[in-house]
Amino acid sequence: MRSFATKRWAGIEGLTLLVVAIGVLTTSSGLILAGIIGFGYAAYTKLWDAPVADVSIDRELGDEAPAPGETTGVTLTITNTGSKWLSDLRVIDGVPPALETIDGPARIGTSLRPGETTTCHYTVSVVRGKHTWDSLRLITRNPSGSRERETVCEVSTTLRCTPPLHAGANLSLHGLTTPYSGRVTTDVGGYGIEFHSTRAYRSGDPLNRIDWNRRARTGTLSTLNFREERAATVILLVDSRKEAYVAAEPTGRNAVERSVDAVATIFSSLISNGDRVGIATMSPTECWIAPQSGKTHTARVQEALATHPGLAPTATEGTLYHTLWFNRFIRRLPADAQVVFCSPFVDDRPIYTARRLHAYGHLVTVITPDETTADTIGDRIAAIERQHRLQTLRGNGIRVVDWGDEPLPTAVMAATQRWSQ
Amino acid sequence: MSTTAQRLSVGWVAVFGVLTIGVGFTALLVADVSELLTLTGTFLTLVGLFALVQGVRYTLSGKETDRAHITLGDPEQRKAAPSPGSALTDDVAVIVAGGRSAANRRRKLRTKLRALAVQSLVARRGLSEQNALSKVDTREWPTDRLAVTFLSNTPYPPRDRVRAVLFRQSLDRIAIDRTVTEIETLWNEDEQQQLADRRTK
Repeated sequence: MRSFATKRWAGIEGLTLLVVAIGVLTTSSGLILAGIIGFGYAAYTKLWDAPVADVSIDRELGDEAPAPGETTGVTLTITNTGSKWLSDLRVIDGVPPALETIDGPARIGTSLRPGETTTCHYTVSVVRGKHTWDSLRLITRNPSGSRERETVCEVSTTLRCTPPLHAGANLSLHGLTTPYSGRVTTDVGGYGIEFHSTRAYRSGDPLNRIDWNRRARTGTLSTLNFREERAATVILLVDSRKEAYVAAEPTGRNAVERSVDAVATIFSSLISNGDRVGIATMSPTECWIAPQSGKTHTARVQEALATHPGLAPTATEGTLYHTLWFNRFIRRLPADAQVVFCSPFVDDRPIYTARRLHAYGHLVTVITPDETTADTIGDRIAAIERQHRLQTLRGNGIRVVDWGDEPLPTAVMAATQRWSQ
Repeated sequence: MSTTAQRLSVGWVAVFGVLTIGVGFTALLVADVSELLTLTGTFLTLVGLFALVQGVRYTLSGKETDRAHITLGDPEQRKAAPSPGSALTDDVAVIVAGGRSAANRRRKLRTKLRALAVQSLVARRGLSEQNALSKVDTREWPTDRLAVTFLSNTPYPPRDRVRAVLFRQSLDRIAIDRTVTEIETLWNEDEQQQLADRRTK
């Protein structure tokens, strides 16, 4: 970038001329001599340009793969590799937008002679995701500060923070199941635990399913049927459109981050129960992992939750063409799949999505992180609108887990109790 | 150069011209004065006056010059996410400030709140949409005077206008606030009823 004048010395020439003029008019040699000092300053501001920052910068992370909630140190080492003295150098690091500096500023103001090195250290608080540092901004000034120049320096650094998958919330699924055994209780009689019905004995029925009490009472043989427990196919869908990146606190965890946390918890819970689980996003950067089970699949999902741009902790640019997205999504969705939809429901688009999925025969359960507050009139209106949307969903027979400040398992348990009433 | 500086410089030149002509005429008429006007003295005075004028000009222009600098930003802070109602809060601020787009935003917000009121009456009181709309149109609901005025888009009552002027308050802000409170009450009726039931038990 070209240097530019800061104009911080603007007016020095005028003052000098005034002093000299008064000196000439009053024939005072002292004032004329004093004016010479002013001319010296005026010349000083014009003498040098802001130097080009010819430096080498190294960025080092304390831990390149910390766990969510941990902190990690960042050390910048700046060396003047040019031949010019950088009398006034300011270096501002490009901390990733999702990370917050908690110790020390991510910048330094210094003066570097040729070959001299300085360091800057700060600590960031880490959240889930793949975080890439932006360019460093180097600002140099000439000694008088009359000219300034900005240079951008690329130093590639990436920090990966993968959330652990641990089951916590046992979400009660709908009865839409696959032929495989699992934990969802069905209305089909067969093998299981819970009593379903009795039927006439057929040759070959196992002895432990014969109703011996009835045999003793009536003399006829009959067989006990239990409710079969089968596995479900579930898609965990995250609303990560730009609109969904809302938070009750400006720098707090946003709704998409909470949705991804919910997906991580529910995924591990379902997969450990033998269900086939997949991941999808409703976002411009689409993410689709087909429902499967097994360790490889779990590892793939864990990686996607950490690094997929569609699940980034801050909003990404791009436009979502909803109709196109929905058509593609519905084509991919297995016929027997049910959907767990995580969205803050701050606009009407998620309602439309949930209702259409429901209409297509895919049972939908909504988990909605509540980011509304009552701080301003606008926030209160948004809270009422959200309440109305959730009521509309419930009216359509869609299960809703309204997730406030409490832990997710508590919210799920409360919702499950409501559903069973 | 700014307009003020231009006017001042023109004024200085005019004064200088008038003075010069005055001194010239005086020198023609009075012999003692012409003896005082030596070549060196006149030259130095002219240089001094010229430097004075330029000095004033440069000083004034320097005073009005905007200083430029690069904005450093705040990379230490995590990127802020808006609250769900931030756009509506901005709308209310514009309406209260009364800017150019205030009337348009006021109309949009009123339409939104009317729709929300009707939806809330349908959802919470079990009314049909027609009945809910009729309740709002006939001013049967809400009960608050200012909320009714805002939703029906009629002029505020004079006594409320006077009170707002006296207390330096925005009537629009109060009316919007009360309208939202009335709608919130619809949604909290069940909880309030449950609390009352518990107290009576």
